Amino acid sequence: MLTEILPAYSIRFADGFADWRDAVRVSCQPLLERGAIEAGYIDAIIENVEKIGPYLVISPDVAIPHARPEAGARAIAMALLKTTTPVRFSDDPDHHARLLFAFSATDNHSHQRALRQLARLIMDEARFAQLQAATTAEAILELIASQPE
Amino acid sequence: MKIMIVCGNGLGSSLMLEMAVKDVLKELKSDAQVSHADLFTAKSESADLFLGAREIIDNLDDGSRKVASVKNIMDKVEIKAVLEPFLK
Repeated sequence: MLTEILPAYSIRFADGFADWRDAVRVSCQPLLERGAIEAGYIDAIIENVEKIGPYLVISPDVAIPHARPEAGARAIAMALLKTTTPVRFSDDPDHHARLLFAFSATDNHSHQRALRQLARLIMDEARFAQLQAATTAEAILELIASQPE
Repeated sequence: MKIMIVCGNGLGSSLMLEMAVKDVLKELKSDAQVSHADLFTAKSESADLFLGAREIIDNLDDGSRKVASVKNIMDKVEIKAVLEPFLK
């Protein structure tokens, strides 16, 4: 379940970032603090984007910074960084996001339920609009907790 | 028909896109098979169609396979429009 891997203290807010790399680092900070990832995991995410492109922006306003389990993931965890101004992963507005869901997975399967729940939340227009408008961790957790799979 | 969903790591966006694709296939009453893989693995896999986010498919499109891309992997309307021509 999403709520099990995304505790309140992992939901954070920021004004904005001049460099998307800093946004990725800050988005992963709660995972690092929880011991869910090693520092190298964050470097792997940044390298992937530099190599392949800003594919971590999956839909308007949403990015999911993550890397392969073997890049230094120790546990399943998720963090959310919500910014006031969009983080620009490229000059293309399709690659701008204010919701950064950083996550770590230890294999290809165990995180799937949580990600499915997140996908349902993003695909639900009304609920997603509420998520975009939310200004507190409590409001976000409430939305996530009531999200069916 | 076999559709291969491709993403950078094979465990995040491909899973989410796979969900949306399965919803769309159900809507279109298609019995196409769907699986997902990371970009590296996908290069050695065979499928009737490789589908992924634009940046990913750009890395896969070398003329040797049938590919299609979407801008927004959570947009079922876009996915449906992209998939329909391949299902006929």
